[in-house]
Amino acid sequence: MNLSNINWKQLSKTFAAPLVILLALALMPFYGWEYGVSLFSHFLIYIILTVSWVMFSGATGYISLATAAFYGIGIYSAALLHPATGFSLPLIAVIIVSAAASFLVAFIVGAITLRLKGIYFAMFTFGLVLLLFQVINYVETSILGQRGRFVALESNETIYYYLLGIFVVTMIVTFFIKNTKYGLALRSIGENEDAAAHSGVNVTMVKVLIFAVSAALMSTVGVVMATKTIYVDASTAFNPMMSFSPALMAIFGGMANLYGPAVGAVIFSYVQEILQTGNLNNYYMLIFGSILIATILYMPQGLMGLIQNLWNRLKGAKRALTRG
Amino acid sequence: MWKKVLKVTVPLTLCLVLVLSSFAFTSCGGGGTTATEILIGASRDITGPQAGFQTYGFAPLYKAWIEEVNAAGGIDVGGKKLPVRLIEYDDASDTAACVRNIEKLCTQDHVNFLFGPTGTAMLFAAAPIANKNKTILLCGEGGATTLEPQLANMPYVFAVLNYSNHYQIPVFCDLIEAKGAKTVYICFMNDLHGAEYNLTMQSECGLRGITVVQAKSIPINITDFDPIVNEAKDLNPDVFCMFAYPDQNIPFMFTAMALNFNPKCLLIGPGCNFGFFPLTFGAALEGVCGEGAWNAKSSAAAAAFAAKVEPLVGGAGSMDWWGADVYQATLEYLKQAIEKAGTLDTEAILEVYRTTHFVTLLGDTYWDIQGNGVGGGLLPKECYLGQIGQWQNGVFEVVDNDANNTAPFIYPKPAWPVQ
Repeated sequence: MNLSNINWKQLSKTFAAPLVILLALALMPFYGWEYGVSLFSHFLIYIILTVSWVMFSGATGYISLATAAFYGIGIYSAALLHPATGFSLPLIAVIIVSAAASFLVAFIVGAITLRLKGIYFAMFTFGLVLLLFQVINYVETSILGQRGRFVALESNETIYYYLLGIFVVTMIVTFFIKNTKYGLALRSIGENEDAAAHSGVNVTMVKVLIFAVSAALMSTVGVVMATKTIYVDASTAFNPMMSFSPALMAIFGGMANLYGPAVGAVIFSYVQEILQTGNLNNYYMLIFGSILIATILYMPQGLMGLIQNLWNRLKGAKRALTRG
Repeated sequence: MWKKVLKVTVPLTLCLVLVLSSFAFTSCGGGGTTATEILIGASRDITGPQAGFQTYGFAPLYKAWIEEVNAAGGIDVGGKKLPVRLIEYDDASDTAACVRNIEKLCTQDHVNFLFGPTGTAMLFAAAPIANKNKTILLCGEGGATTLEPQLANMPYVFAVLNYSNHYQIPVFCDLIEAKGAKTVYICFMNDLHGAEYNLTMQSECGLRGITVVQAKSIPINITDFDPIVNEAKDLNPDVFCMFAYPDQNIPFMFTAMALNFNPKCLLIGPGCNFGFFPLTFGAALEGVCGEGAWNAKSSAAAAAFAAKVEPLVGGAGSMDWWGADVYQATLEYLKQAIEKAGTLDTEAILEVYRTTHFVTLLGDTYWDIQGNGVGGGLLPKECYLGQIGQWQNGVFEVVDNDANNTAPFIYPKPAWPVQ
C-alpha cells in the first residue's frame, strides 16, 4: 500500500469525531462513575442491536423481528459454555462460537424465508422467536427438568469493554457493508428487488449473507448480557421486546445513516431509563407509547432526519434532505 | 468541509448533551445516602404482568411498615433515630431492567438495603447483583430449590418465603400419605415455578410409594382446561395438584366444577392462598388446599397482624395467607437488627443476621445460614406458622401435622355444591 495515495485530510475528517468519542467511551470506567459504566453498557447493547438490525432491515426494507431469537441464542451460548459452575470457555471463545452458531441459523433460516416478502417475512421471523422459546422451554422443563441456568459473573468493567469491542466491530462491519458493492446491492434490493436481480445482483445470496452477519452480531450481545443477568431461562432469553425495541429505536433515530440508529438507541433507552426509575414509573408505558406515536406521525425520518431538515432549513436549503 | 464535519458532530454533540443533562436530572432525583436517613431500594413489577403483587404481596406491607417506623421517629441507629426512605423502581417483569435497577440502586443511590423483586425468576436475577454490590437483599415473593446452592456464595441474600421442598410439598405429602392416598395427577406451569414444584412432588411421592399417574405441563396462556380435566377424570387420581398461577387456577376450578371432577384432595396454588379465592368460589372452595399458610388462629400476634393488615391491603380479598406473615417478620427482624448493630455498616448488620434470634410476628425468628455459616440465609422450618392451608368455612386453616395446626385436615374433600 502506498501511503502517499491516502487522502489523510479526508480520512481525518471522516474518522476524527468517531475516534474522539471512542476514546471518551474507552476511558469511561476511569471516570469513577460506577453507575455510568452500567448505564453506558445498556446503551451499547441497544446501539449494537439497532445498528445490526438496520444493517439488514433498514437497507432492504425486510422487517426482521428475529432479533430476540439471535440475542437468545447468544444468551444460551453463554449459559451452556460459560456457566457459573463446571467447565467454562473463556468469554471471547463463547462470543465467537455464538456468532458462528447464529450466523449458521440465520443463514439456514434466511435461505428458506428470504424469498418471502412483506408481512410474511416479518411474521416468520417473529415466529422464529416464539418457536425457539417454546422448544427450549419444553426441553428444559419437561425433558431435562432444568430450572433456569446460571452464567459465570463478569465485572461491570469487563462487560463494558466487551460491549465496546463489539460496538467497534459492528460499526466497522456496517461501514464496510454500506460502502462496498454489498451495500449498493442491498440498497438496490430495497429500492426495487426485481430491478436489482435484472441488474445482475445475486439477490438471495446478498440478503441471506447480510442477514446472517447481522444475526451474528446480535448474538454476541446476548452472550455478554448473560454474564450481567447471570440467571437465564427461556423467557428471559427470548423476550419478544428484544425484537421490537431495536426496530422502534431505529425508527426513532432514523435509518438514513450510521448515526441515526445509534442516536435513537441511546435516547430511546435513556428515556426508558428515566421514566422507569423516576417518579413517573407508573406512567412510563403511557409516556413511552406517546413519544413513539408522535415520532411516527411527525418525524417519519426519525430524529436525525428532523435535525437534518432543520439544519437545511436554517441554511436556507430549498429542498430538505430526507434520505441519504 | 465544515458541512461534513457539522453533519457528524452536531447530532453527536446533541446526543451527548441530552444524555449528560438527563443524567444530572436523575442523579438529583435519585438521591444519595446521608447519615440522616436509612435508604431502602426496591425494583418491583409496578407495571408488568405481576403488578398485582404491589397490591397484595410484599409491597403494601413494606410501605405500611415504613410509614409506621417513620411515624415513630425512625429506627434507632446508635442512639440516633433515622427515618426510612424507599426508592422504588419499575422493572415491568423484565429481568434486564431488574438487573439495571438493582445496579442503579446500589451504585448510584447507594441504598443501605434492598427489598426483593416480584417472583422467583426475578429474584434469581437480583440476588447475584445485590451480592456483587455487597448490599443486603431481603427477598419477598419468590424462592426456589435452585437458589439454595447459590445462596452458599451469596452472603448478602436472605430468602424468607417457603416453597416446594422448603417445606411445603414434604408436609403435603405427609398429609396425603397419612390419609392413604395412592395416586396423584400433577398439572404444572411450564416455567421455573411449575417445574420445580412438579419435580419436588414427584420426588416426594416416590419416597412414599404414591404413584404419579400423570405430570402434565401447561403453557402460561392456556384457556381451555377441558382436556386436562377430562383426562384426570379418566385416570381418577386420589389427589390433583395444580402448580400454576391465579390466571390458570381460576379457570381450572370453574372447569373442574363444571365437569364435576372432584378428587379426594385438590392442591392449588399460588392463588388459593389469597382472599380473592373464597370471594370468587364461595362454598365451593370448602376443602381445597393451597400452599401457605397462616391465619388469625396461628397466634395472638398473628390475629392482631391479620386485623391490622386487612384494611392496609384493601380488604379481605387481598389478604395473603401464604407470605404476609413472613414478609412482616422480615421487616420486624430488619428493624431489630439495625438497632442491635447500632450502625448502618452492612458487615456489622450481616453479623447480627448470622448470629441473632429476635422475636417477631412469627415468634422466635432467626436465619438458617447457608454455606457453613458464611452464605445467605433461609428461614428455618421452625419459624414458619404453617406450610399447607385448606379452606374450611371461609378460613384458610393450617392443616400441617404439627404444632402449627389450626384445624384437622379434611380428606376426602366435600363434593362441589349443587349449581
